[in-house]
Amino acid sequence: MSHEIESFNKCVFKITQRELFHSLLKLNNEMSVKSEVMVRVENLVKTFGDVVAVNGLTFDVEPGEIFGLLGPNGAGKTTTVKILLGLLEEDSGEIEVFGLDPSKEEIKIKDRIGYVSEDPLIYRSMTPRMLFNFISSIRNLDEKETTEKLRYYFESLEAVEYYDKLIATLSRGNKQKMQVIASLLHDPDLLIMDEPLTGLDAKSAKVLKEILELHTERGGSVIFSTHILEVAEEVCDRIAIMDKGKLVAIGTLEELSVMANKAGADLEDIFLKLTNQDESVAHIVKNLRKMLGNNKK
Amino acid sequence: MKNTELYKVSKSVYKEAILHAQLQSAGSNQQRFLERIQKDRVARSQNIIFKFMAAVYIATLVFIPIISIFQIYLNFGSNPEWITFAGSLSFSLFFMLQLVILIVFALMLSWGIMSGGPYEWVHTLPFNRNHIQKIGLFTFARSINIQLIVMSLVLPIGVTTAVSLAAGLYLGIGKIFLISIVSILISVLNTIFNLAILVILGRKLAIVMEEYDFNSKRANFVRISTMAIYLITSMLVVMAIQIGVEKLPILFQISPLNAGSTSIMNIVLSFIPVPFSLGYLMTIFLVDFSMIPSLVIVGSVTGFLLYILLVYLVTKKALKTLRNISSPDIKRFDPKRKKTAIDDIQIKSTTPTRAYMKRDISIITRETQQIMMLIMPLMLPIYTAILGSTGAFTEVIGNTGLTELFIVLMVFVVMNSYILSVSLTIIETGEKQLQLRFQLILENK
Repeated sequence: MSHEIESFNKCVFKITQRELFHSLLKLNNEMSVKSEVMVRVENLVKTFGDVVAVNGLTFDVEPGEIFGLLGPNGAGKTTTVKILLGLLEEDSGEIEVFGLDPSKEEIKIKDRIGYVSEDPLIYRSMTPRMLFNFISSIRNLDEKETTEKLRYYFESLEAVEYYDKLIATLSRGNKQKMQVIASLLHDPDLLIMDEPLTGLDAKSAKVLKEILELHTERGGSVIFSTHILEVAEEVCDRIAIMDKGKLVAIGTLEELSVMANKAGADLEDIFLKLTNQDESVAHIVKNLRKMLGNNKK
Repeated sequence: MKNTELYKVSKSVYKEAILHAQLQSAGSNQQRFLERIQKDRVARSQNIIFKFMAAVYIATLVFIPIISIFQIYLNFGSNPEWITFAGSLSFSLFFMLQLVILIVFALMLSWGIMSGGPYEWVHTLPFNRNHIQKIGLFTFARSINIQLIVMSLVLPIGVTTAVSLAAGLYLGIGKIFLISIVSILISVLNTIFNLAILVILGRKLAIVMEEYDFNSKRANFVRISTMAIYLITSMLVVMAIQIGVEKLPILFQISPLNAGSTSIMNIVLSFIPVPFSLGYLMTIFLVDFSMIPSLVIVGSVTGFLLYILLVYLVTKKALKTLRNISSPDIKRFDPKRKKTAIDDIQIKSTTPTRAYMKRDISIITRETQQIMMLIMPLMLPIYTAILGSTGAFTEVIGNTGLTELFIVLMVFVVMNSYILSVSLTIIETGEKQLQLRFQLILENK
């Protein structure tokens, strides 16, 4: 096994990250110009029993943009993402992905989407070698081109040494890396990423952000679901704020700050203001101070 | 996408399902289990060993119909009513044991498939729902492929061979051919029925093992009961095979009931689809129709028709279950939870030892290995008592009552202390945790 890793290492070029991504660009120099709206969602409703997970959600995602779905836990982000992928069926509303209906054109849509889930779904019973061979076979990818891409991704995410290890034995972060690579390998037009930075170290997180930027530069789009405000602020071009299944606001950071009447404020303040949680937070802080403030250590 | 390609894909899904079930069974020892399967090929092939063991057991069961057929032809003239009863009972025992063995060996692995987890990633790949449903069916087929083949073939082969040897000259080729056809039909139906039951039970076990609240008393009780029933059944099956094969000839030679009672019993039982109708149908084809009361024939045919209806219904339910588990909209079992109010949040402190024990119970009840370890000491006396009642000890060590008792006691003392100590120490893997636990126990004392 170690011999295989060594031989793998030898094949990988030692290059800087910038060069790496420019090489990736060259690999796909015939950029398709995507003028179509990537995703269009109108009045989306999804319920689970009595719980309304998504309630009248409307948004669209343009080519070349990173669209953030931002909201607290239970806001309906993951449900929305799953409906877009056809993993869940909507109760009502209209959805189009690449102008296609996800319930009717599943395969065509999935062929053009790369998905990173919150909890890694990739098979733990495989090694990355087996996993990527499997993906390549299922997606009918070109062997030579895919191998080259795979080497770049493994090198840039510093994951070469795990190539022949059982995925079940990898750490959360390394599993996440495998999932990210699996979502990128077929060069999708749309990346749907649900909390993709979870478990990643700072360097890998930075590399992933660069990958996303390059992806949009090439005309691709990203739906980036997160509850971490700093990440959304740094990565996303436009942000949809969700709360309790409803769309609270949508726009760029500047547009959101205008909506919240908080010019120049950071996303945290805007978010709390738009979701009407700013007063509630102030109240909680006051109570906490009252309870803990008298107990000096 | 072609079915052959989907079948290939199902191999990966199957492997993932196996790992899923194994990890769930390993519970808190998951890390240790993963290290073991990295190094040890045998540990990785545990499912294949299980498959072969089940196939061997199912194949071994064929001795029951073979012995029955020989006994039917040897004794039929003496008491047709009783021989029909004994023959049907033996065949029914065979069918029941087949089902139980299939469940005992396949259930622990099949609930990995039934949990639905292994299909989640497949849904993100370029397959449509129809493809994924097929992958679901193929994955299940892979999990029982060897048992399926053995289960379908063993009865027709066994019956045809036994009938040819026992009464080949007397019956003629035409009758033997007819018996073979009937045995194939019965075997196929029985196999479908058994697989459908396996699917339904597998899903139920998946719900119990995965989706109940982790710490609730009810969940712990359900998990322990399920595992206890499972273990008791598996032990009883082995005993039933031993006793069945050994005592079967005697069943054909005695006639404890009078002819009238036997006749009524035959008529009543032949109407019951599971497990008797197949046994009666097989028996009436083995013997001369003219010697069987017409009501028993009517009963067997009616029972068989009811059995077909039952097979249809359970198969329909099983297929629905298989479709559901591979569906992205899989309905997770949702236990009725009381909504927690702020007043429900409160601390109830206890001694550290009790706190450890409470935590251990919730861990243990999710781990097959440890549940087995805890139940085994309880099972050993029962098992030994049953073996004792069959005269197994007397045969081996003679009639010395004291020696017998001493050996049984020694078995309990040695085995129970070993099993209990292993089961209690296996919970904690860290040396420091273990030291802390014993220190706490001593302090409490």
